[in-house]
Amino acid sequence: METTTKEFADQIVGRAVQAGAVFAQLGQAETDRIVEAVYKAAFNHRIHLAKMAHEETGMGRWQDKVIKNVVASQLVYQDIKNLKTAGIVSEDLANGIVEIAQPVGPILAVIPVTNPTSTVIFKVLISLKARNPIIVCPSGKAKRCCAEAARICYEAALAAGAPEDCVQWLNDTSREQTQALMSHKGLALILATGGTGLVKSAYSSGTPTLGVGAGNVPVFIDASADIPFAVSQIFQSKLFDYGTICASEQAIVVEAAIAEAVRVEFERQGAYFLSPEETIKLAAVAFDELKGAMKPDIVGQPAALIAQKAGIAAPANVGILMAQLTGVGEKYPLSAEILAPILAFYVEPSFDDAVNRCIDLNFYGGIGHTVSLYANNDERIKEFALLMNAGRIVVNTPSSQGAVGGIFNRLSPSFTLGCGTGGKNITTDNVTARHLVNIQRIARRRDNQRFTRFDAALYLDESMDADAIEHIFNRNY
Amino acid sequence: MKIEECDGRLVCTLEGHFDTAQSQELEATLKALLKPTQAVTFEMHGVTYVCSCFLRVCVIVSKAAGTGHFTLRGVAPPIKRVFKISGMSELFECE
Repeated sequence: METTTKEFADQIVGRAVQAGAVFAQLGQAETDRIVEAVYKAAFNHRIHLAKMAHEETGMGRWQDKVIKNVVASQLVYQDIKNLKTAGIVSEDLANGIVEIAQPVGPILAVIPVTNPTSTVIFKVLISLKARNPIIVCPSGKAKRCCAEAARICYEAALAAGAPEDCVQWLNDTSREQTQALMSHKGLALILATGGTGLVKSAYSSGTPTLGVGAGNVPVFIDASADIPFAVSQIFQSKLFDYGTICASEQAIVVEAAIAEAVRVEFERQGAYFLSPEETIKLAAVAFDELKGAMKPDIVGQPAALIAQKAGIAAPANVGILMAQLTGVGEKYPLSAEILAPILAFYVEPSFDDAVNRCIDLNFYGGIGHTVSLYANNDERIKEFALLMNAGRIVVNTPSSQGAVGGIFNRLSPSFTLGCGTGGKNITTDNVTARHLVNIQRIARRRDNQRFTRFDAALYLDESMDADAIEHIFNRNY
Repeated sequence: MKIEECDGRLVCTLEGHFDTAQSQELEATLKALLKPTQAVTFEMHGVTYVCSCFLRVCVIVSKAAGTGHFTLRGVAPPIKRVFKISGMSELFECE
């Protein structure tokens, strides 16, 4: 007998709800043993999973996907292993507040094609750390590698004492089935990382969602920056998995005074600057103007291959294709987010103009995500940061790895980068296990003595204004 | 505030803190000078703050000038941010 969409969702979520109920009985030590076992299993399969992800998706480089799996397992584990997520997690005797962490409940994890196995490992680890069952919902283009990653994590978790069905994964779900899962009343939370449409569906489902908005990362190279270093870092980031991380650099902005030096350095390190005609050719193969988005078939592809597709005679060993642009917006397709080794390049007459250009880029599809800055002038860094709308302003750091955290800074390693309300997210944090618990507070009686000693009748006296009340309220007897 | 006509375009050079009083003064001045559908440019190099009333003046001038005929030039980054956040940079050029 054929299963209806509702029955399908009821079965999956029902199993997760039961797993969650059992999981909630476990204490911190038991939970930590499970998380450690999952981390080790995922880490030990990092190469196998990376190769599978590369073969299945055809995106990026398997060697870089290994590093992504390492970040998702080793670095995420190091970051969360000492976090208290079960039972009483803090006691403030002076203020009478005791905090208790409770699991949020079943989580649906939407997994993108660009970082499939690493995102599965990451989401499973942070969910289990908070004693939540997880349902992995992969991109249709990465379902085999995601299933394998989820299976490895699940078997390790079970062997370490986790409840049955604490990790489930979906294979061939229709859009209707995904929507039924998202809006199921038993589901507690959606961790949505993926295309704009899917993230929007998650938000529309009525289930609380931690989603990830798109990025469009501008990089400002200030006159105070070490130019060769800055360019080498940008290469390190933009070539990492051929630019598939949404925090990868999208546009370089420089003042005219250093533009030539930056350009020469980019060329020296392997970039190819396109002519205006070549820029048009590249835009045609990289950007779908009807959909207003990058074309999927160039995502995570090497620059030489993209150049070949566009009929551009770039050197065979080209690292990054660079297009000098004069504006931002629909008329300039390469000013939008493109997850491939392609960068826009802007030359501006002054610092203020350069910052304005970064604001334009930041607001063109990347609000709340990440911006990048190379500078050795602390005042400039602060001035720049105050004007950007970004959860992460990474300084003198490859932005892909910098935004993900854990390698070049102390941000929590994460494959779910909150973009704040600008990106329709509830947080600008790097999402991790601490976001997946409900904190309950025991609030013991601690009288506000100023209030209890205050003559409440004075509040009824219309002649008493705020200053007069405050004076009496704060009187030091 | 300095206002001059340049090739038919009204160019207003503004500076300082544009609070309600300053913005109302600008609005009144422009009402007296502005011809229907005349192009207008606000030179904003010296502007350090704009209040809501200033934004309203921009909308009024933009509507009067017609699509593509009202431009803000030399906008400092903190002011640019105001126009971005308010969504008004979609209505007219904000350079």
